[in-house]
Amino acid sequence: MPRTKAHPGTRVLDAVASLKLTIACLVCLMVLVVACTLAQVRMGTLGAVTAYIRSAVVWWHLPGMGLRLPVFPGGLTVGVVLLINLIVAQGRRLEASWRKSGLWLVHAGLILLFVGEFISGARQVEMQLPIEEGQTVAFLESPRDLELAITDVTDPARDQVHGIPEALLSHENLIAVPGTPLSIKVSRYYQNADLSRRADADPISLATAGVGTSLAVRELPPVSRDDERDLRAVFIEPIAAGKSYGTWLVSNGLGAPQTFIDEGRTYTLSLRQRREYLPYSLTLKKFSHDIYPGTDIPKNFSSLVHLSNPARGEERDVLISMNQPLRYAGKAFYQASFGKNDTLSILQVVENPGWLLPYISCVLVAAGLVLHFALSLGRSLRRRQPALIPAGA
Amino acid sequence: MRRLCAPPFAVRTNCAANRLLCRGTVAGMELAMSTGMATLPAPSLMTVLVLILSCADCRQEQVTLASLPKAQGAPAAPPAVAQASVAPPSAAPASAAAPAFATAEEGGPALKWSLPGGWVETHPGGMRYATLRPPGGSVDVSVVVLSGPAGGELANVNRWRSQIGLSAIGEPALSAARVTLHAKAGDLAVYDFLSDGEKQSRMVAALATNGDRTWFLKMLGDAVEVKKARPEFNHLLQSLHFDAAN
Repeated sequence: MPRTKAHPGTRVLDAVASLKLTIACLVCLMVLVVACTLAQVRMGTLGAVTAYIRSAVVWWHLPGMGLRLPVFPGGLTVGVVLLINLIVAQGRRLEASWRKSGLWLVHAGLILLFVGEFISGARQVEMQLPIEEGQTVAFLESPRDLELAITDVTDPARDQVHGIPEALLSHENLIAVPGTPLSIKVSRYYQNADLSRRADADPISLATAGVGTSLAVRELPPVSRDDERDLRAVFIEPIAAGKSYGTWLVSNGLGAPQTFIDEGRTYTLSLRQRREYLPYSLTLKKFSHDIYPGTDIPKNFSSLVHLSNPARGEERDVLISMNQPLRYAGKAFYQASFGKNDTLSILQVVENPGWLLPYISCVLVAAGLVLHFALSLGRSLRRRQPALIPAGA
Repeated sequence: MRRLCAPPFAVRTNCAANRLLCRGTVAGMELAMSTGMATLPAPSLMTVLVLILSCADCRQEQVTLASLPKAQGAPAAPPAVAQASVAPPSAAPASAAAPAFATAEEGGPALKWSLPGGWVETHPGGMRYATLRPPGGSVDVSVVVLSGPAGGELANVNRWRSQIGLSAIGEPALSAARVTLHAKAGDLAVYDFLSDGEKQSRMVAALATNGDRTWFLKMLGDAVEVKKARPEFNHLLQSLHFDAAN
């Protein structure tokens, strides 16, 4: 009997749903995990995870040529392919019957787990809130990302703060600042640098205005240890209506903002940790660092904060302690660190729209396994029952 | 990145394309799950794949604007001072530029002055030795001390000129612009610059040298306000003296 030729679409779906593809993806994931682990030595945890796991493609940077080549699918690509493989395989292979309902639940849980990881990878934001006792703070700071803050301080009552993400500074040459006549021209960007007093032997600084004129900037390789931070240095040139205000050095190593005036409006420049402003504020009333009696061993860290949200008419005290975060307005505030002789508390603030999905997926998988086991057990018992009845009874 | 928008804060982002892309990703995944993959055509799968991969870069890449009460602009306690699990940055950013700036305690006499009536004096730390504010609050007077000649007089004058959008000048114009003022602290070089534009700014700056340190006093603000404060600033400059006791 002649074999009927399969429809091209069907063949594609068969290929997508194949077990071979599943195995290939799992092998790729294993390779990525090993490579990522090894890369952490030179790139740090975050850099390696970003380059290998959270990227679509793993790039190889050709030494000294400024070129990069795609050498391997990144974790994001492999994860998406695996997700599609799982979904298509479930649709094509798993019969839609009560008998297989447990397996459907298990697969749905796995799919949800993948989706949750994608959402977390794309949308999770981790910030910090350093706050001293008695201080009131209404903004969060990114522990890693920087921004160029251009603040119009002309108004005696309010500041207009324009934040240019560091990613734009490192990639763009000319950045318009919306709502102002200003554009920022980026002359030079150093991911890591050393700042020192400029000596006579040093080359002339790129800076023609601000404190950068008296500083020497020496480029350094980016740090890789997780407990180290790069010191960014960027030379920028504010331009308004074609008029240049000189080239300024901004760096997260400079303590105070630098100022210039355009058409009577005073602007300050500073490179700082990226901020997210909140419509509510937290006041640290008391930070507690409890230890076991007679030892220096920490027992508990906690921050008693006052939450004030005028828009909701909310005024209340909250105790944030280890494993007991404050969950408020889509954010979770965890006790993360402390300092300044126990007068400074540092809260880790996490916003993850998909934080519930792993819990739901675990429940689905567990329920699916239990259901599948129960159904299989029932079928098995029913099959064995006739055999247990004695012949001729 | 989602930003909350509610009074008294107004935060604006322009991330419509990214939001659309992200919504498309989620919608694509929901579609894939709800329709059953046996009938889902391959192009739809590719769409889901492309959308999800595109969403990987769905991060904050836009210039943001926040309108804040003055108090909110105050800097927070930097995490670099933290102990325990938050280690200070290796490059010690908070103090990286410190070698370029002298402090009153670094040797040499401190600069003193007589504060005009109604003026407010603060010591904010960092690069500034002191901040003075005439009544009204719109004019800012900074006092900075640097080691050595701090790049030279011409470089500093041009740096100040660029702050208000004026072009650089050479030595001849520098000499023409310089006014020498006799004070107890010695002769001061004083410069007075007016910006271009419809709304003019004015800067009056003075340099005083003592040993291997240079002191800078700079008054900056709206031209009209600076003009009002100028006589008192002149009195302040004339009262400058070095106090070896400090």
